[in-house]
Amino acid sequence: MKKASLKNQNKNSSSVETPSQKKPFIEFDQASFSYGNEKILENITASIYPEELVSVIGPNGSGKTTFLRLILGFLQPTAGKVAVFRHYPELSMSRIGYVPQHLLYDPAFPVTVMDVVLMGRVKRGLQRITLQDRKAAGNVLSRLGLEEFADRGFQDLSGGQRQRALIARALAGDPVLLLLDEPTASIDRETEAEIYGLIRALASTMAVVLVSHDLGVVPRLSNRIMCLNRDLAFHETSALTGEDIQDMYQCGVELVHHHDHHQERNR
Amino acid sequence: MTIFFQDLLAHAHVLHAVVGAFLASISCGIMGSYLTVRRMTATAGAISHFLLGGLAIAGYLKTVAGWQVGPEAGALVSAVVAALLIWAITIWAKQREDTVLSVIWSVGMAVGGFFIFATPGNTGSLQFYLFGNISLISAQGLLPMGFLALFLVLFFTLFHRTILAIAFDADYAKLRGVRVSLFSFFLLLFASLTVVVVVQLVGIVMAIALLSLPQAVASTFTCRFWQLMVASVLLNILFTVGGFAVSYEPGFPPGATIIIFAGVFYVISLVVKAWRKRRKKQISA
Repeated sequence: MKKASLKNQNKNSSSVETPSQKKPFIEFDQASFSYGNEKILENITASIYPEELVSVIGPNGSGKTTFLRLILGFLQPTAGKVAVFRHYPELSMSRIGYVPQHLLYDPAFPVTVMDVVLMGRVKRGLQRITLQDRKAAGNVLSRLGLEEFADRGFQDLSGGQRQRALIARALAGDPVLLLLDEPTASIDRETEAEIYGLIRALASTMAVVLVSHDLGVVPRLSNRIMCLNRDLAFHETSALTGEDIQDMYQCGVELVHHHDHHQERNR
Repeated sequence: MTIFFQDLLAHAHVLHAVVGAFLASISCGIMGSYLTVRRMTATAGAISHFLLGGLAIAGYLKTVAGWQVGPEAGALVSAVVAALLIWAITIWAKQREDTVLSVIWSVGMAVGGFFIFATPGNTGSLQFYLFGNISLISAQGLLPMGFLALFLVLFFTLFHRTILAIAFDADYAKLRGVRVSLFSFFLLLFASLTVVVVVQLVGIVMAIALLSLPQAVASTFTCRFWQLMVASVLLNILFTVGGFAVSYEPGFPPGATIIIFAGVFYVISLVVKAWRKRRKKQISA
C-alpha cells in the first residue's frame, strides 16, 4: 500500500497527461458506439497506462459496460478507434483478465471452482489441462484464499466467494490488464472491503480498469477517475488532488441529476 | 419381460432396436448435456419439429415427383438447414432467440403438414414421424447411429476443455482466443444430427425429452460436466432400453412408454432432491 501511495506522488510531480512514463496499453481515439440510433458512447478520447488503477464511474446506462466491451474487442466502435496493446506487439488479447458483472451461466452449472479458474487459461485449438495450468490455478486460488474451495461446486459458493473465484479466473491467465465490471454489485459490505483491498494490491503489478457506480470507496482507491456522463462526454482527471475530488463530486451530483432526467425520459 | 429377452436373441429387429437405443443414448446423453448447460434445450425442440418439413417434402418428392429420396435424406437436409438458420439468425440478426425458435418450430411443422396433405397415401406416415418407432430401426440404420455416437465421444473428449469454457462463459472463451462461433455452429449441427437419430426412436414430438430429462435427473447428483454427460448416457440407456422392454410384451407404443418411464424418473429425482434439501436443513438446524 505504501509503495502505491509513493507512486501516486511521483505521478503528481510528473506530467499530468501521462501518469506513467510508459506508453499506454489502451487508447480511445474519438471513439463512439451506438446501437442503431441510440448513442451509447460518444467521442471518447482516453488512454490507460500500465500499472495504474483507473476507475470508470457513471450511472446505470451510461455506457460503462460498453466501454469495457470495446476494450475487450467484443464490440467495434461505430466511429473513431480503440487500440489495445498497440505499443506492445508482444502482448496478445489473452493477457487481459476480465471479471464480468453478470454471468449468463446456468445456475446449476456443473463445475468446480478449480474448473472455473482453469478456464482462465483456455487457449485456441486442441489442448489438455497441463500440470502448469493446475499449478498456476492453484497459486491464484491460494493467493485469494480459496484453496479449500478448489473442489467445491461453483454454485455452492456465496456471492463474495463466487466473485473472488471469478477474479481468480481472470488472474489465472497471467494478465497485464485487468478489467472489472461492478465487482462488488452483489456482495455484502465486509466482503466488499476485502475485494477492494485485493484490487488495490493487484494494481501494483498490472493495469486495472474498475467500472463502478460506487462513489464512496472507488475514487479513493484509484489513481485516476473517468466519468461517463449522459452526453457520453468523457472527463479525465489526473492523479487524485483536492481539486479532482471536487471535480468528482461535481460529477457525482451531475450524474444523479442526469439519472433522474433519464428516468423522466423513459416515462 | 421374459418374452422380450427370448425375442431379443431370436429376432433381429428386436436386437437392432436395442442396439439402436443404446447408440442413440450415447449421442443424446452427450449433446443433451451440452444443450442443457447452455440452456438451449428449446433449440432441440425447434430442430426436431422443423424436421417434419424435411421428412414430408422427401415423401412428396418420392411419391409425386418420382425422385429416389428416402426420409433420411429429408431429415438430414432439414437438420442442416435448421442448424444453419438458428446459427445465422442468432449471430447476425438482433432478434429475440425464443421468437426465432418458435418460428422455426411452427413453420417447419406447417410445411410438414402441407406436404403430407399434398402427398397421396402419406397421411399414415405422420404418426410414425410424430411418435417414432424403435422397432423399425434397420441394420443399415445402425451404422450412421454408431458413427455419430463414436464421433461425439471423440469430439467431446478431445475438445472437452474448450466446450466447457464456451458453455460456461462464451465471452471469456472468446477473449482467450477460442473460435466461439465456429464451435457453436458445429455443436449446433451435431445437436441437429442427434435429433435426427432420436426422432427414429421416439418421434418428433418427444425427441426433446431424451435430450433434457436424463440431464435433469443427472444434475441432482453430479457436479462436473463430464459426470453429467456420463450419467445422462447411462440414464438414457436405462430409459430407452428399459422403456422398450416394458412396452414389448403388452404391445404398448414404445416411444410413449420410454418417455413416460423417463418422466417417472424425473419426478422421483425431484422428490429425492426436495427430501435431501429438507434433511440437510434439519441437520444444520
